[in-house]
Amino acid sequence: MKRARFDLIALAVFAVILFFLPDLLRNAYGRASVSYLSLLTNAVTLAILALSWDILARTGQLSLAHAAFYGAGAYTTAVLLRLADVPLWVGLPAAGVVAVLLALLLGVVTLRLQGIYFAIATLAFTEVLRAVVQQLPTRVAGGAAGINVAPLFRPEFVPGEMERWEIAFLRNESYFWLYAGLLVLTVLASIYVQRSRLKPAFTAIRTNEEVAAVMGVRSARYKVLAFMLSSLMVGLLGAIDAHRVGSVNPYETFGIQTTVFALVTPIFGGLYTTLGPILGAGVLAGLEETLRRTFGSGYLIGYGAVLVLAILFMPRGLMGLWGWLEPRLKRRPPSKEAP
Amino acid sequence: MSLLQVENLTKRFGGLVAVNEISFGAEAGEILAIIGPNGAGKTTILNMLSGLLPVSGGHIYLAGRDITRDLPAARCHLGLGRAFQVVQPFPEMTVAENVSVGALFGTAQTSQQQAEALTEEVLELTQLAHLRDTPAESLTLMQEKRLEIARALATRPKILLLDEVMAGLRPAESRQAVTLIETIRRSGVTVIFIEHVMPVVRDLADRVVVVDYGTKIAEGSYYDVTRNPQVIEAYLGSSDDEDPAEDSVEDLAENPDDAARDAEPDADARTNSTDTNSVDTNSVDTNSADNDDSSSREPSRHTSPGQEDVR
Repeated sequence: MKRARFDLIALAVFAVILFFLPDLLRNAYGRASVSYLSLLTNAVTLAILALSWDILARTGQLSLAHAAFYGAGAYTTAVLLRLADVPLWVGLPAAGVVAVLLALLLGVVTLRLQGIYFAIATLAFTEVLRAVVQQLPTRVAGGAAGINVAPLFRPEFVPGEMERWEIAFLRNESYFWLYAGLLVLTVLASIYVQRSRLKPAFTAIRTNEEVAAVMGVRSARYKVLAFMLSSLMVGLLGAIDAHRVGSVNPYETFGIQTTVFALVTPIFGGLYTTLGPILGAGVLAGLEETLRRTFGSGYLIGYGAVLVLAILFMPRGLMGLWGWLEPRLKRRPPSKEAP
Repeated sequence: MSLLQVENLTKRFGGLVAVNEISFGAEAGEILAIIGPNGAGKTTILNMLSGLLPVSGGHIYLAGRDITRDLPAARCHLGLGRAFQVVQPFPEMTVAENVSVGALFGTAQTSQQQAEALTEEVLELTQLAHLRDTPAESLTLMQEKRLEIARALATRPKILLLDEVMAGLRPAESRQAVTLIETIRRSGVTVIFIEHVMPVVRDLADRVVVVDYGTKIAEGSYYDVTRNPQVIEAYLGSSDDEDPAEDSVEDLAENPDDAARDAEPDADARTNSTDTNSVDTNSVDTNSADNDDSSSREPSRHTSPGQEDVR
């Protein structure tokens, strides 16, 4: 299909940009700094969170369980490495599998729930999973203190700099490439959803599930499929994060902030699109960094204000902004020359 | 066995019996009308047929297969199409996209190309082709009704369930809709429809099932059931609520073709009905003991002139 080909070309361009971004930013920030990498990593992980959440939202399932699958992925890697003497990289695919299985379970259980009831059930699922993990024997999951997780990549020290190990770990660009790869995978999944028969199925289910069912759409199948696809990406993200951060614990790994960012970013960027969540992630990550550098510790107030204003006045997010701008730019091209 | 066979279909909402042990069948190629006063349970029957409501009792057979417990999507794949009374297109999609949902998912295996071809075919049939790329949310009511039927047709149904497609249409539009339904039947689809507009029922239906308070009170040809005393009682009743029948007769008067064709018998039918009504209430008052007897005898005497005129 023509439109699918266009999407894939756009994705290739995007991948090339991703490839050159670290070098560009490193020059801007300076060799010894890790800020450029943490900024990029923030943006890319936020994009993965947002896009995977959006894929699920396209079926009308507004999930608050993203943190659950993120945490499940992270803990799978951590526990597996701790209990079984498996190779370092086995944790990632295992995390994906566990997240997908949990999504299958939750997806089937919540099939008949709509709107707010679905949201509450998914939020409860997150809390239950967190509590269960915390109550597991300390030998297995480390209880409230959590577990340390071995890094995937070696630390990189800059000669002449005195710095902490975490920062040296952060400096290894390999993590960024791993995230970038996962983002490309997520974008591919999103494009597949948008350009295959999944799109009419998802949209029909979201707008009117009863009518969709009467027209032959097996809504249960598609809703669970979306759940599994979405969770696969977040589960993998959680596992990579566990390695990079170096530890997991119930409070932070299953923290609500994961869910909040996963749903705020696509709303900010533009729901039910591939570009919207990515755009939203890029802009929000950049905005956060800028505000932090400008205002210091109180920056979160400004960040929150921007989000509230955006949601109030840009109902269709950044994507809607373009729809608003485009006809105005086309209609009055001479207005630029006017004083 | 009939293509669709309904046996002792029952629906209870708590203590309320909305549909009570209704049985009927629809033969292949037939147009069957389900009529009855508001709240009689017609839409509830359709919802149970298409699987949106679980049944409280009874069975539904489609081509000999028991589909009573099948999910809506599975019933659709077996050939049960449904158009809703309250039109509910997918507002974010264009007209063609709306129809293509039915084309893509209406049967178990359809390729994108097949679905596109089918979508075009259905858009032509329902005269929506020129609106192909219009967002569904900006259609007129008549266009929405067409879209509602088009979406159901795109699922390639053996049986099409239509829930009051004429409601809210002007007489000219409703004639168009009648033509459309006749076209659909000629293509080999069995049609089961709910309708309040009586001329439409008369023009279209091969057979009519009359439902009142959740029970089937009559079944047969249009002329048989409209002369059935129980049906007249149900529509005009002994109360003062008489709008359905009045509406239908007025609709007829606005409809010049129909009026020219059979103004006489229907005008008679109206006067007869009202006569029957008054006589009926009287008879109930006077000799309530043999109520059944009188109500079956009296109206038939009064309606007989109408029948003679028809012949």
